[in-house]
Amino acid sequence: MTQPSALTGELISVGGTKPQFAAKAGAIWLAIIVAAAVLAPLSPYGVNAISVQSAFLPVSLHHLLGTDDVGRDMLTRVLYGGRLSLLVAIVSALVGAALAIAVAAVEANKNKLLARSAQRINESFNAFPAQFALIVAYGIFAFGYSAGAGVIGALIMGTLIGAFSWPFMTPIIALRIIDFYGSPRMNSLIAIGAPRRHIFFRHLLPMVIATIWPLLPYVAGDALVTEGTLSFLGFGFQPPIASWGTMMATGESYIYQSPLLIIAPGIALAATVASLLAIGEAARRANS
Amino acid sequence: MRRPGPRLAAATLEAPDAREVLSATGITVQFAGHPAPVVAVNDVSLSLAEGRCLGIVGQSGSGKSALCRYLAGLPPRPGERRAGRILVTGQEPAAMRSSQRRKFLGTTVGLVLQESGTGLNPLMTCGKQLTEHLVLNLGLSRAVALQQAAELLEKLGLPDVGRVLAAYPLQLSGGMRQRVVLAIALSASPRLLIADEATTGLDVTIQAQVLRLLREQQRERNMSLLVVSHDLRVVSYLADEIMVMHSAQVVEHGSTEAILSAPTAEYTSRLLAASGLSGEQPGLLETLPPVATLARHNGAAAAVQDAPAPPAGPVLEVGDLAVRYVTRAGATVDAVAGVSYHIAPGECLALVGESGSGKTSTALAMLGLVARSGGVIRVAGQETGAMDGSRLRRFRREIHLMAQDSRGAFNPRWTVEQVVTEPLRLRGERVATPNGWSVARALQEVTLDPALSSRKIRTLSGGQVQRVALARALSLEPRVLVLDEPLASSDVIVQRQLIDLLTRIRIARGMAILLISHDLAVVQSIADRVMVMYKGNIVEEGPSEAVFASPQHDYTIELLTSAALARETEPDPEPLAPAGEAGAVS
Amino acid sequence: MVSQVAEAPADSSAGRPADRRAGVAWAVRVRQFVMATLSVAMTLLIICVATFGLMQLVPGGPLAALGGSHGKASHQQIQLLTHEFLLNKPAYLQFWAWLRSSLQGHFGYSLVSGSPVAQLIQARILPSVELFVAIASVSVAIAWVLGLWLAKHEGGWVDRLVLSVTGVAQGIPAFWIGVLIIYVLVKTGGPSGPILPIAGSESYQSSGIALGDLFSHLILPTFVGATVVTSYYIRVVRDLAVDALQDDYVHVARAKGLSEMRVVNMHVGKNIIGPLLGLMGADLPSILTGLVAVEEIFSWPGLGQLLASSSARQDYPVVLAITVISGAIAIVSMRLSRLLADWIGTGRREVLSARTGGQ
Repeated sequence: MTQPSALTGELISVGGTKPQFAAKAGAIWLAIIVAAAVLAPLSPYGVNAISVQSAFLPVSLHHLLGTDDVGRDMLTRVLYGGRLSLLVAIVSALVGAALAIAVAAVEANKNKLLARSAQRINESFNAFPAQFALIVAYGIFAFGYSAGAGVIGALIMGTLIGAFSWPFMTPIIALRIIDFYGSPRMNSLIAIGAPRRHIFFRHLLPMVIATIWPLLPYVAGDALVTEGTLSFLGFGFQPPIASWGTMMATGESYIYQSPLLIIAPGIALAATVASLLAIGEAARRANS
Repeated sequence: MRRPGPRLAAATLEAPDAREVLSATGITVQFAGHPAPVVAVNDVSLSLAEGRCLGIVGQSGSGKSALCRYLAGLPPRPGERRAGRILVTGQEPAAMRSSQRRKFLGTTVGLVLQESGTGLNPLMTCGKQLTEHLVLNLGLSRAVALQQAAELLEKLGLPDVGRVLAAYPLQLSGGMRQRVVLAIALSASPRLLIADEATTGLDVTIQAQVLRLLREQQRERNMSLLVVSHDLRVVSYLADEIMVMHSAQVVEHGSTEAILSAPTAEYTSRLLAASGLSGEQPGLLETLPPVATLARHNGAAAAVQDAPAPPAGPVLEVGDLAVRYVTRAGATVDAVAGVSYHIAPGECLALVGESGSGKTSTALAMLGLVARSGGVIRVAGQETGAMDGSRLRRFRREIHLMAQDSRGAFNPRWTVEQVVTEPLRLRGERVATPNGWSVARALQEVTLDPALSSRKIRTLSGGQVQRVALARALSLEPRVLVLDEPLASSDVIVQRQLIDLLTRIRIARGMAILLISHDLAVVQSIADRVMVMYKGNIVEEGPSEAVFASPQHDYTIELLTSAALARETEPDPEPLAPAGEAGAVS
Repeated sequence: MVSQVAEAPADSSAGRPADRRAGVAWAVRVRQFVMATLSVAMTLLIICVATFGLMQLVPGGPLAALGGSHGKASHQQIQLLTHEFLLNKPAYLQFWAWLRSSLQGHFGYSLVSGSPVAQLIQARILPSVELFVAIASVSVAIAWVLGLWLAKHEGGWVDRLVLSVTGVAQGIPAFWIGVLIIYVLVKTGGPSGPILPIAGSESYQSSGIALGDLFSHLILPTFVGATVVTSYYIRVVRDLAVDALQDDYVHVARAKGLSEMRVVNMHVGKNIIGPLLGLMGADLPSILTGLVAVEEIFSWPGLGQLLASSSARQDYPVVLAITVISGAIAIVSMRLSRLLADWIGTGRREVLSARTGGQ
């Protein structure tokens, strides 16, 4: 973080000057895992290429993470699993952001009745045990989760997780919007006679986006854990679809044959979530 | 903490015959920084005898607070490195065991910090905060300690002591809180009191009270006082000797009289001039670009001027303006209770009062930024109540408000160019207009380097942002510029420069200024006419010289005497005169 | 003197801190209380509507959601349910009937066993409460002590190490840690089995109430459930305390000669406990849902496990009842914790409003 020195008017660094190591490491890991997931089809093994005679092979040059219970290459499956899990995370972050902004706009409304109703809805969603609702939702969308080799399922699941992820962001945004009216910034815009359109698109909207984006890594990280937990418990994706959650569910069944089956997707998930949280924290600090 | 071995005193002043209470040699404080460590205090040595007062003056950021924290025995911040040797009443705290050091310093050294709202623990009663250390460290009983605290508070002139002791800090006013902080510092009868910006941020009348108290207590207790401030007037009121700090170093050290009458360091002279404490006026005006380059560009400007205004009449008239707030408890508060005034073209009118007097509400209501509950506003004879959207927007360009907090007024990520050109882009004008307006010239007019135009706002200093705000305001060619506490956050030298700049631009452009301020020194040096506001009403109004020379209303008199307090002991009979003359030159 | 304005009535100037005893009249307090109660009721109503909406979406509709379509349900039972819950009437009447009977603790019948849902839930409440209390107290205790210590030693190697470890740990799914711990214990346990119980809440042999037995069964689920929560709260406490340590009153307290212990525990601690409580209340729903995986892994006979097993068998009456009950618990605890936080932090809140409000 940098701020101008009162002494010289020049830039000096103050306080936590150490380079944000965790955030940098997180960004690198995230770049690697996203790139690898995108490039997963380049793997010499198919994601569902079963060969029973090569089941539970240990780590080797041919199979960098070994093979699973039916001889599928684990590295290939971890990368393919990343595609679905990351898609769920991205979709839920986008859906969550859109809902958060929409409800915040109503909460910041001058009409007290509208604003209070939005606050009540916000509070109920905040208190609603999201994972329970998602478990119930599985009963309703079970068929959809398997559609399109999991891609459509990921869109549905991402939307559902996103639908419960917004409440913690909304008050923050609403407060920023309310603060904006009557702020020196707003006054200086009125003072130069700026029309509403200009204020909204050039000032208010960029400010709202700048407020919400540091929160999105948290939403995405949370969505990854939720997907993992739901699929692990059997209320998300179903095998043989590869997601980090389903792989861990399979891995638990065969843990005494090869613990790598649950360790590998778990580490991929934990490292990705930790990276997202570190990035979110760095962004939040830089913003405040 | 890293402590090198004892080293030779660099420049200890000869202590008078009295005992030495504080002696510090080779004090150096560094903060870890990127790419190199930042030196906050560089090899400073000082000594303070019993019953004497040493003042340290310097701009914010000159390392004064780091020095105070070190001297008071507070632990270093993360990344802070210290070196040097400190002796308090001849003993070396650094050599003591930590619990012993704590008790020794706690009873020998008192500390008063700036009234910031966090100087007292908000969740503990004042009584508890005044007594806990006496109970724990001196073994007094709670009742005795409370009794002592009550006596002390009474001595410090606090009314209704029982209520204060039972109160949480935020139930008290800022002035009362600062006196409680002072009482805590005095409660263990220290030999040395360190006051770091103890009166900064207080209203001028309360500032005067606290300063008087500090001096009284120092003399009564024969206590040593180390007073640290950015305000030379505060320091010179209290101190026997003054050290001037600049860029982490002591640039000058001498008796108060010597410093005030014959400064040797160039920085000290600048500081004196800016504080209105020296006879000579440094060549600030001459360092600015010649007025000729500032001649107003015409074209569009002429069109605005031609339109409706009869040049002789007032450019702005406000009649019976009232603002009424409704609190959450349902009560109504008259922030502005029927205020009338007018401004002529090219005139500078000042609105003076303490915080809470309704000054800012007056300005905001005049511009329609808060709803007014009554009153008429006329711009060049036209009533604003009858205006619709687009005409209202134009009116706002003509009466332009420059906000109190310039930094908060802009997106910190925007560049200077984006901020300065935004108003013109909104009007659909090219940024380089045919009549010669350009960002570079606009920046030059406010004495900013045109090379700054690509810098982001957040990388500029406070003074620079204020000039950017001014350049932006001027691009709209306003007839009246409303300045709300424009100088509150900057130090004296920057203040002085901005005052001169405003005066010159006003004269060059024939623009009227409505200045809202609590700082009488600023007002006196720039305003033609002054209005004094108190509790929502204008209690006094008149030409600047008249109001300052013979104030009529009690409140005005109190304001003026409080502001003059700092000059009581000072040799120069008419310290503010040069500044006043500078404002009147035209 | 003119400047001593504190004696003026509480609301004489906008944003000026005022005497709270004299300032807030009783009428205002009562009004605030009524408004707060009403808004909690509104929120609860929304949760109920949402749950009722889910019932309509369940395969088989409301009848299935109330237990009318399990194998053993006779024609007569279905008629009884239809009558009781007005299933042949418009939706708003159905909602009303469902709400009324839910408030009386009647949530319909399990599709699997046919027994009343309320009975099933009742049997599971105590183990869940035991586990929750264990996790919450362990996390808060560790987070408080370690967080304050880290804040005092900000930037040191321990601080950096703990920040890195908790930074990773707060992102790990609890069930994953649980499964691996069970694996390690089973592998290393030898012929006599794992050194700690890995399933259930009591041993088969035990009879009556054996506290020691309960504790030994609690250790692993608590450890697993607390890892993520503790990691997060260590960081929260540390960050709050780091901020609070910058405040001037800390300097003043130290300059008075108070011990670091007292400065940190009394002065700083008092100021961060309010915000901390507020945050914990807000996080309660996610902690509650986190129990599902932990209870499932360790076969802990609590509500979470009941929820998981009922969902797997599509026993909707049970699932919906648990959802609406935990929603209600969450909202009430969130409000209570915020109330408590406000009550503790009255002074602090006034600082904030004094800084942002006023001139």
